[in-house]
Amino acid sequence: MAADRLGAVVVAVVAALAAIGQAAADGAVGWTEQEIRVVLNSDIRSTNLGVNRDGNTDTVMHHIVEGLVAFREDLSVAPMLAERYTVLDDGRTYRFHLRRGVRFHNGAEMTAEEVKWSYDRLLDPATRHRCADLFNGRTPISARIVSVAVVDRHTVDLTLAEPTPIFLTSLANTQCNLGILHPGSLDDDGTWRAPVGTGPYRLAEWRRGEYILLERFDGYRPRGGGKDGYAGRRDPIARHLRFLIIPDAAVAIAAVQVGEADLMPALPPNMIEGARRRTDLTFQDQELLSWNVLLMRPDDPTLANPDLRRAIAHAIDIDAVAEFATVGLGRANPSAHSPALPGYSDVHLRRPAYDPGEARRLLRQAGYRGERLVIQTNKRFPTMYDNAVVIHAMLTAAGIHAEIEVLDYATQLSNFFGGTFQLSAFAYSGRAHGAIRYANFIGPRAQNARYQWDSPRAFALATRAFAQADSPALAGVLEEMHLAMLEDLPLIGLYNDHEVSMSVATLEGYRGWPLGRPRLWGVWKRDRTGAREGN
Amino acid sequence: MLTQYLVRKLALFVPTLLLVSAIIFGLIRAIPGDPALLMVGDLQSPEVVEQVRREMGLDRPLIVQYGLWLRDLLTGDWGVSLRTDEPVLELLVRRFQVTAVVVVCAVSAAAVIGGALGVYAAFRQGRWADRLISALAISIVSTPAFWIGLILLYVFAISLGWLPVIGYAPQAEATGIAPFVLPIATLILTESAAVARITRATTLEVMTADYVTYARAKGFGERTVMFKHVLKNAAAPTLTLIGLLLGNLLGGAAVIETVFTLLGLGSALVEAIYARDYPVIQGALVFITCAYLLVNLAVDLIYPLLDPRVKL
Repeated sequence: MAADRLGAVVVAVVAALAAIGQAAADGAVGWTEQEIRVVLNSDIRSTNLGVNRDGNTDTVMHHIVEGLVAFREDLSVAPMLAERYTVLDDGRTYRFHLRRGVRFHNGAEMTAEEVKWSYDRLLDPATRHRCADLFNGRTPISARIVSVAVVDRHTVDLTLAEPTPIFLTSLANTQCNLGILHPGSLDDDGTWRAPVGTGPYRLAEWRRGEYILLERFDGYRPRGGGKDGYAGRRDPIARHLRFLIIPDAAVAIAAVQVGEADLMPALPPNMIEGARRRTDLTFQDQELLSWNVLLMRPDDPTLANPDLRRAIAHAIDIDAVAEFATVGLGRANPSAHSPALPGYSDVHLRRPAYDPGEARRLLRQAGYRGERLVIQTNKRFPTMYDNAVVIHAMLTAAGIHAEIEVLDYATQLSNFFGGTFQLSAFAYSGRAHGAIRYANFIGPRAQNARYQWDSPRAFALATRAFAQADSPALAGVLEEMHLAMLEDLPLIGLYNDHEVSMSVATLEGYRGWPLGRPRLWGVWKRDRTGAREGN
Repeated sequence: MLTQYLVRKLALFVPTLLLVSAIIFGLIRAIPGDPALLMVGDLQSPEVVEQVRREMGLDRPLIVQYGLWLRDLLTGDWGVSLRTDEPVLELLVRRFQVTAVVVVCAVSAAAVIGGALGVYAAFRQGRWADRLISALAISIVSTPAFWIGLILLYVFAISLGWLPVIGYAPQAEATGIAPFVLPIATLILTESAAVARITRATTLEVMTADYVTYARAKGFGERTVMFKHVLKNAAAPTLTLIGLLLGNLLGGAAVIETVFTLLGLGSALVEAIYARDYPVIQGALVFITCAYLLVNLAVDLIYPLLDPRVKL
């Protein structure tokens, strides 16, 4: 009798769940089929372009605004809102001839006035633009814009204090999205309202922590040609893009598996194998520009000894580290330069040979007596943790007393900026130019503790690299930089991150690229008959 | 009497909150990690990082920062998130509403289910029903809540497709309670197991008390003995446990919220800690402390109804 009653309760509960499930399925119709749903692992910080930003913010904003120039798929710089540009005054002035008929989301035509307004806003310290330092001469890689002048309705001049060959690359910078805005983005009192850009999508709704909904801008006029990085043709095919905030990767994978999301741009490496078992989903691999390294603090009393740093380098098999951390997808890259960029040659693959015997000999030569070396790492980025674990094993095998210190990322980052570590399993974010990639870690530590490579030779090479940033001679300088880095060993290059995206099989037109940020223009969903949805 | 008790209790909140606020402030600032650096990264010069630090008010002496925070807190200005510029109080209230719905539903159901199972097991001590309930309860108590949550998610959302994976608005608007079913079910399972165990233990203890034997000797029927003497006396420790569970969970069931993508107070706190979002961390912890104190006050008020020996 009791069993009967229990059975009845179970049946009732299951029936109730089924009813709720059916309601969920019915409700899902509200998610129009003309919508592409993309997973983000955290919410955007704001819509205030370049002022309060992070990677996910940039990803979303790149669908709403566009810059004068942008990176192509091959990471060269191409005009975007500019029809073309000319370089005048021996490289001091860049004249941008704007595309005609481009409209902002409020219907206004884009002219030189809005370009000037956008750059004046960027350079105004009151704006607190996070990329202002790229254009105010305050950092070693910075150009200094001295004037933004309207030549005519569709022509604008950006004049620099001195020729800066890296300038166009800085303008195309994806970290800060130097998009052209309409002044209507601000309220009358100058406070930020919402982005009024020229991009293929406009902001429809932002529910904090939940989703960002973009709607197609029907007044958008794409460039000619094909989809090409952040440049080229941007066709807004899907009517809506919904960026869903799902912090937990396992839940995000489940959301794609059950069709609640269409695309997860980056699977954590340790979940790739399990996710790939689903043959009804589509997976794409892409090597990124971000670069994993083992930082060795050269001003640490123990690591100041170059023989010890060399011993560490010989003790680490970076091919094995890359294979382990990227589940066999990635390849070793000992150089700060990237295989995705022009001028990457076999020279950049040179590294101290994996040779534990040589490592032990160098340890003896260095007078190493088993001093403890701590590898800092974190678990927020699984690859950094995996790198530390493998390197720890290799160092231990070579006779080095290594320990792992797992910190939360904020602490590790603070230690990185403060130079308070011995060894650190770290990664530099992707930069699309070889000279900038090296500049990330070259500089005087007395001025900024985050610099790893503080040597006159490195400074001289960096200066040459920036002077030849737009010249074919840059390749030779970058090779010299790599070889010099192998001698000084301020760090050990490991590999570039590898991204695996997962999408529903009906998603068409999506592909990754070395900058890693998903681009949803030119992307659509097939319906059951194979026809294109999204109109 | 009740008013005096309430005034006395509420007055005690003030030094408690002051002490807690000082501890919260001190501990958070002791954690390494600079929110200005996290925000600016390597894009700008050290001068700009300093400027951002100034804008955040982090360049002032700690005692000044604490004083200003306390003053603002008392005037209802809980500051804005360093990460998103959103007003902290608004954010916390919004997130707390989600947590409160899930937790109050789950704990209420767990109290009823766990209490009933615990009492039933006690009355059937040593028989198969007792053994089954005890074994299930200890298994569930020993299993992490997130694991139970993931299993439920796998079965009901992924395999059967009856419930949504993502726990927020688009589905919530369309289907009402659907996104809340699995997190509530998870908490009911885990918390009712805990309630069942303590209810069983206290019921067994009371059943052997002299006054129960005396009641039986007086010739009262078993039903009267149970409801009038046993359950009433066994309820007090269970109530204490429920109060603790409620207080703990209202402070944020961070893991459950993460598994089910629920935008509750716990997940807000975790996000804020990762970003060193000081105003949100501090505000959330004060908020949680207040919730805890109020729940305990409510438990204290209910206690005398169950046990006349307890005076307000």
